[in-house]
Amino acid sequence: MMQHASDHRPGFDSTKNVARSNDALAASTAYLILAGLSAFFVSFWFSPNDTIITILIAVFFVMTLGIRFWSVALIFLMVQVGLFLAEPGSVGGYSSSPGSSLVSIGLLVLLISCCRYLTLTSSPAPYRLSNRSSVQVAFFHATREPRQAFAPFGVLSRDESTVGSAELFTMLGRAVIPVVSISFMLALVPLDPDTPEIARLIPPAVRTITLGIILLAICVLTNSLLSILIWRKLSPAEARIFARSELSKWIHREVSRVSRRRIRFRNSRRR
Amino acid sequence: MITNRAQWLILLGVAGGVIGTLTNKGLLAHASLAVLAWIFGEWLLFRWRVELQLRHLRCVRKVNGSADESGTLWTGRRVNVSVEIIPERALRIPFIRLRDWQPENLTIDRVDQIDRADGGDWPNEIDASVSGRTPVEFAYTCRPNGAGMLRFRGVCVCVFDLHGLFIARRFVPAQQNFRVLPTSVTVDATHPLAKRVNALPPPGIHRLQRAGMGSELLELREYVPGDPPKAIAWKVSARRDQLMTREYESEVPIRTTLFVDCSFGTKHGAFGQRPLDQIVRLAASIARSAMSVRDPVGLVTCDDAKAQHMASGAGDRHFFQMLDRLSGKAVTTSPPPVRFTQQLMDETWRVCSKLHPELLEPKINQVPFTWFPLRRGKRLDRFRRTRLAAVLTEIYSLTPDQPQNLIFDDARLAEVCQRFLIDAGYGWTWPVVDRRPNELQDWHGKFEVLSDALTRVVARSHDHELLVLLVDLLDHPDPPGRLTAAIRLARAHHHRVVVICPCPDDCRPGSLNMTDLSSRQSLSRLLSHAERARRINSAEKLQRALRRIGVPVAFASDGRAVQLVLAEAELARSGRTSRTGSR
Repeated sequence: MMQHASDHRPGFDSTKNVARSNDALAASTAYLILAGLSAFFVSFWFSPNDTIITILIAVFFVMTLGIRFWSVALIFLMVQVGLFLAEPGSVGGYSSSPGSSLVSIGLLVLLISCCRYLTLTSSPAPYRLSNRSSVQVAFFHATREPRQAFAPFGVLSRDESTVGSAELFTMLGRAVIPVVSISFMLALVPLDPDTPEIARLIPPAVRTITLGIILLAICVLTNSLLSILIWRKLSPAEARIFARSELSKWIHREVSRVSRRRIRFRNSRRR
Repeated sequence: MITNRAQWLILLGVAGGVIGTLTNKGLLAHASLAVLAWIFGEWLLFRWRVELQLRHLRCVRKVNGSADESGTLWTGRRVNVSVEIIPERALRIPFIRLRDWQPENLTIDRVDQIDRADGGDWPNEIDASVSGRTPVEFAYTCRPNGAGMLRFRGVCVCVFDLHGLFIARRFVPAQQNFRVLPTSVTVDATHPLAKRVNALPPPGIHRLQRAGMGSELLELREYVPGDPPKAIAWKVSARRDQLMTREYESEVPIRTTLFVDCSFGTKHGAFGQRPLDQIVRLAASIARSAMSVRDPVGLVTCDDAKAQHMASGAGDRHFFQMLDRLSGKAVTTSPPPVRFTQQLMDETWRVCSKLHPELLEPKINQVPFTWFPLRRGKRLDRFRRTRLAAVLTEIYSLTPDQPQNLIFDDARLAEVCQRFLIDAGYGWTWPVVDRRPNELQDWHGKFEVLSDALTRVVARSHDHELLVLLVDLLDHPDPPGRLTAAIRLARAHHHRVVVICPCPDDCRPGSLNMTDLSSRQSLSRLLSHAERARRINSAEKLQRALRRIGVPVAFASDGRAVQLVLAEAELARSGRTSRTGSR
């Protein structure tokens, strides 16, 4: 699967339009390697005493990629089940240990690598490919077929044959920032130790509700801020349609009734 | 738009977070919530890029090296198009797919694009990253299919995130309008052999017996002082012992009048395959050939309601004015009304979602929720129709009550949808135009207009002119009495009349090979054979009917159609009745 970036196809300009680095590693290969390593790291937590089983689980994870475009969700589900079965429930609540953060980072790296690999080798247009098509596309990608070969599948051909250090760096940021923010948030929950008694609920339920409220508040606030910012940038046509649709929410029943009666009256006159 | 992958990940993340929190499994909760936080962050970033950064993209298109908003192109000739997407400020969009909007009247060359860096399956498309202020460029070549108008609208933009979680579509406008002129076929000049035969004319046929500067000898007469010495026939003068002068026939031009059928039936079909495209191409070729021998050419365009005359003339300027008139007639702007169909609505939705994706966004174009109709499919269809009505109202600046009218009034919605698709560059094909009922209805109007125009031209013309009728008669092999009478009138005035019929599939109606037919043929193939048999029958019937009144018939798909017209022009010029030489 190792591929060299230097391309000698006639007319191929590797510097045009896309910022590329000189790394001689195909993007899909790099993502596949990262996915394999992170899968090994994550699966290490399920079977810490047996390296062979750990490797087998990691290989199984990576092989799952060949199933379908959404197989990332399947990998995530398997990791969740593994964590659920392997981890004993703690009575005293969370312990935001570095270990849990490391597992989360590993999981995110695994998911991001898999997502990017599948984006490069699968079809995002209909977001679905049959099993056979998916395998065939993966084969075409590995053998570096020209774009015509991918055409029947509607596959992206970003032609990003190399992966630069910038992309790897952003991937690391994408993995670390959510984990740190979630660790910080979990460290604050529950906010008040007396809350379970006041709310007459078991502590996990209080924690879940509190966490849900916090997450919802963050989502709503951020979304509102972004929406306000976007709303101010709407084009006149978009603004007019938005205003008209908002108005029609109030009066659409009456107006539609009038329109229907008018059409009925007109049709009856024609007869 | 959120993808299936993101939906599944969010569902699993929420489930894992809730289960992990409730069962005090910190690692599960932490990992699940981290995934949710990652998706949330990606969503924010994606929305930021799509809603705010993408608005700063500008498109500059150069057609044949010119970025002008209008120009002229020719059918079938190669056009070089280069598109440049310029970020107006520093942007970072990691993955963007750009596709130049392809009007229906355009065929993109795919043969010599194999060596392109991105493969060349869709030469008008490129996948790229936008980073900083570096522009994205791509180029392709194409050819206009039919005469008329060609409108480049802009570039369809599809933005993905690298993880396949979200996708968004936008449109960057870059409008350019081009008048597409018909390309004329170069025809070798034909010189019939009959002209060299020294035959006497039969009685009752007039000859052009006027002295001129031609090459044919008219007569010998006695020398008159002042005659040029080179015109003296010395041998005859010696024989008669008297100076004799040679007089030559004059070579007069033949006026050619083209009657172009621009009725409804000729405009139906895909660009380049319409009967009108064949008619216009032939008319341009005939005009060019006639003008190359300094014959003046006039033009009469007839539709279902009226005829427009263009005075005859010669020279390049007149030729281009004629092409412009023909091209203007080939523009399909005012189609007949069409009934509402689900296909029409689906096609309009599809085109609208490409040309105005931002106006169809559910956040912008909101639909008031209702439980009715109860069936989910119908309800979703109603929602879609409501959105489409809002967009069409905005595009065509309709009155504020029109969205509701469009939702409930099928006829009104069909009218606006048809207008939208025609403006988007669609030809008169199903479901934009319903052919049959209108065509049958307009037959008589077309023949009335054509007969009137022919009679008027005959009344104003001189002897021995050439009248070329480029008319779609294949579906009507028995020309009505008035048209036949007008043709007889023209023949009675010693005009040459030629009829040229377009063929629907650019295939000359010849003999049908019945051995190809067997009972195992597919239904579509059998239907195609049946249609071809009908066409052959019609063509034979038409030829018989018109030959009876001395009018030759040619078919547009036949490469000899132009030669036939030129040969008739030559006959008209020489005053002969046939190519065998009798006068």
